[in-house]
Amino acid sequence: MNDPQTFADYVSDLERYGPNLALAKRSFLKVEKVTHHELRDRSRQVANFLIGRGLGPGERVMVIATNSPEWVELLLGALQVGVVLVPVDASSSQEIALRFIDEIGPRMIFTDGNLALNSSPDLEVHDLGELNQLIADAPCTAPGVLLDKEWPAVIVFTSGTTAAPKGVVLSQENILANIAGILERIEVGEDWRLLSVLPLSHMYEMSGSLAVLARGAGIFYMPRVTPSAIAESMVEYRISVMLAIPQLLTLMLERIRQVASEQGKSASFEKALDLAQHLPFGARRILFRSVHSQLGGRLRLVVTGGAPIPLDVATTWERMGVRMVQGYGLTETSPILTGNGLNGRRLDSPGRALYNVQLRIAEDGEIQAKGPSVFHGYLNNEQATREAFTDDGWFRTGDVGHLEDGWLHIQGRLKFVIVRSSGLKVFPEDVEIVADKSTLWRAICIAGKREHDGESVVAVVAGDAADPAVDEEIAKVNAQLESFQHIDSWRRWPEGDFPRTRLLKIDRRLVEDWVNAAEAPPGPTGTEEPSGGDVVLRALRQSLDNPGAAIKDTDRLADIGLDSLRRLTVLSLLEERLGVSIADDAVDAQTTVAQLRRLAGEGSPVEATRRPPRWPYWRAVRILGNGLRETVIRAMIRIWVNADVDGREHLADLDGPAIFIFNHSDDFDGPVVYHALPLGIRSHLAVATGADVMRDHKMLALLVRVCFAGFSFARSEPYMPSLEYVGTMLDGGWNVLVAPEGRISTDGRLQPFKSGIGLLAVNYGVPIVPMKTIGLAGTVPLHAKWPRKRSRVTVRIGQPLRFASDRDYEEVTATLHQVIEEM
Amino acid sequence: MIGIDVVGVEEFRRQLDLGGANFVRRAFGDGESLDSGVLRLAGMWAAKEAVCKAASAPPERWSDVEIIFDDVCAPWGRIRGERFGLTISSEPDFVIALAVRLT
Repeated sequence: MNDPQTFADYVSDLERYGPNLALAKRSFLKVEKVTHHELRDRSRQVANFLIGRGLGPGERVMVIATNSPEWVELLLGALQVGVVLVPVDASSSQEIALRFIDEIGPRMIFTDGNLALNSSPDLEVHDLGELNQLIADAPCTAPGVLLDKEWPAVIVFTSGTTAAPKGVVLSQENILANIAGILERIEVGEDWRLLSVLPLSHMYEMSGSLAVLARGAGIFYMPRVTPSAIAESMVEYRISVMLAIPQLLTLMLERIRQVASEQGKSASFEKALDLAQHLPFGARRILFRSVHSQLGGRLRLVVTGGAPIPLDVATTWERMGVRMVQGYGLTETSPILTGNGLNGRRLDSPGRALYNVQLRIAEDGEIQAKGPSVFHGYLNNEQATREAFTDDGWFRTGDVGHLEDGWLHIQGRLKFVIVRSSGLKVFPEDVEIVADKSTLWRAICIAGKREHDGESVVAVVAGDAADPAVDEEIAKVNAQLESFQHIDSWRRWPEGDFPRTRLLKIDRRLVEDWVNAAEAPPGPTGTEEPSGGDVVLRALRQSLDNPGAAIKDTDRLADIGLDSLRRLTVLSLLEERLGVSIADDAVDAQTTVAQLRRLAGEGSPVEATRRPPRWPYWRAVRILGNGLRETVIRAMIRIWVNADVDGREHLADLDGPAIFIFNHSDDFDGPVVYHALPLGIRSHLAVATGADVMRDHKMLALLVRVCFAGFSFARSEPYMPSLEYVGTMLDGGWNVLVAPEGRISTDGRLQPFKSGIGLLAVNYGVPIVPMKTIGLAGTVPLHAKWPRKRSRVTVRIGQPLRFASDRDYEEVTATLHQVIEEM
Repeated sequence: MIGIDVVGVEEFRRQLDLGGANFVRRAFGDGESLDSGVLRLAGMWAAKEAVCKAASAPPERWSDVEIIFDDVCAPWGRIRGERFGLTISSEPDFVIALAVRLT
């Protein structure tokens, strides 16, 4: 396959994978999907739209928004015109956004609609979510701009370790070269399904995404990236690949171990890990099938970067049957310099140089690079640009390392090397590798403290372990280090965790500044912060908008100004950050901070939404189920119910999945209504059955699943996952049968409908077919086991109804109620 | 029997941004939060607080306090089967709600 020479070629090449899913994102109930074909067309429309607005090569468009299909459409659109895209972290404040706007001078800005930026004749501000409406009238022909490889493509600001962020200008060639390099190293499969967890404003995500799209793979976005959303999405989208940072993998591994220990399986889990190293990958996945089912069952590969992954974490994942592929690079290098391949990968190295990257190690150990993916300079900063290159034109990465038969080993950042008075050099990273193994502290950061002669090695500890315990643990760490590397002293970081960069790396610069600025008290010192404050304390302070608020464990929430609104915010934050759900009524104005902390520790883990099983929809099960239903069950129904059906002709214009609703007057009506529909529909008709029934009556649940393709549907909060699941079924081409009353009517009268039906009608835009049974009530009264009488029943099928997406769902619910009432 | 609550819209917006999706899910029922602007959500929050005060009992879950708009968009509240008359009034900066238990 030829690599595309320009982004016009890149976009044309998407044609190869036309119907494959390229991008998807859940927004509320709907999943927005874009195929490769549509991505090609829409990015061309974006290009033509930009041209139509008078934008040409070199002009700038800024995007301050979370990842979405529109984000990628905009990127590819801009690249086809030579318009420079400037992505800014979506969580930036108004103030920072304004500063960037000042520096960049964009002609157009796309946001999530949360920043108050004013449009003016010179600056158009749009909501990225409305991109598709904006470009609707633009033609989807190739824009035909003659692209120059040297043109700047994007300007990406390097994240926060320096006071003023530097704008890295990357050319079209830089990015194309890196995509080619990545694809030469890793064979991306057309069937890959990627979960996106990193911001597209970071080059690692941007180049990685463009590379996998170029091979026909699909990328899935989440509305909000949280641990629970990641877990759910892995299952829902059957994710096979992730681009991740090591911290996420460590966190996921902790959760897996926690689940194992809750099930009392810790010992067998560790034993299985031991055993797995001797097994081939397929067997490992079988051995750890329960872990894989938590992860959606398809995760095969994780590409990590951004920071070195601890060897034991990488090894554990590999033993569970997930391949770990590490890489290394910097924003300035578009970003990948070295990478492992799928075969012959090593866990202790970020790999070998890509085919189009040259590496050398300078005398002081600095890794230096050359190649078509290396940038040419920073925006408006000649001095920084000069400092970034050697006299003979090599890019200085600022990292120290060495090459071993071409395999790179990184020791650390040049500027954080601690130089002792003896001249010996200590890499903080070397000490941290040893110290990180301890679980006594939450995190540890090694920094150099300037003494009158040279520097000393200071360990900064985050966490609440008692001082003597830390002393003892530091001594243990020192015992495993060379004597010149020994930690000389330690201090406790004043907050629960260290400041971190966007990729969650500890912000060393700030820690080092703190170590050197503070009047160091003699000897090891703790702080006065109540221990374990961390997440709870941070949530309280954030809610109060007072980062320095003095909060004691004995304070009652009312005393520190936490009203019911702020309490709710704090509970929401704890749920997001700790994954524990604390009941609203467990916390009131009189609750103390200590009690809240205990609740946060003990709160029930957010109940993972159990998705209905997929096996009822396997072909073999459907053949069996349909067979049983059409023979045995149908015959049984006929013994008791003699049904006439009116209005079948209304079904003629149905051309896709529909939702069928009916009045729930009797336990028997589900099967009766089911059989009133023609075979063509009922062979693809799934019944929404009360979740409590499915849970408490196992035999009935089995029958419903096998014979009626049933799935469980919540009758109490939370409804949302069930409503979403109906969407999944409709997407998969299934008709769905629902009783909107939610329960059987005891007096034969139609009860109010649950408004979920209105939501479904409005959000999915599928036809709703009203049905009514007359004369069935009392055949099998509630809680009776057997039919009480034989009935002659009429089933009326009404005209399918469609509702526009801007209709009020309450009103639609009322309309549907009335329609069935009047049938 | 009666309850009243006033909500500062700016502060409400801040808490809403901070608490994010979990906040919306915990505070409002599935239907209530759809397509609603901050002002409307703030109004609904004030209404919930007012209803709880009129019921003289905190809710088990905030989403159990239902705020319903009838055909002419007049609001009323419901918690544990009890109905409450409601009136909500808003200015750009503040929202106020008054609830009365209907017997």
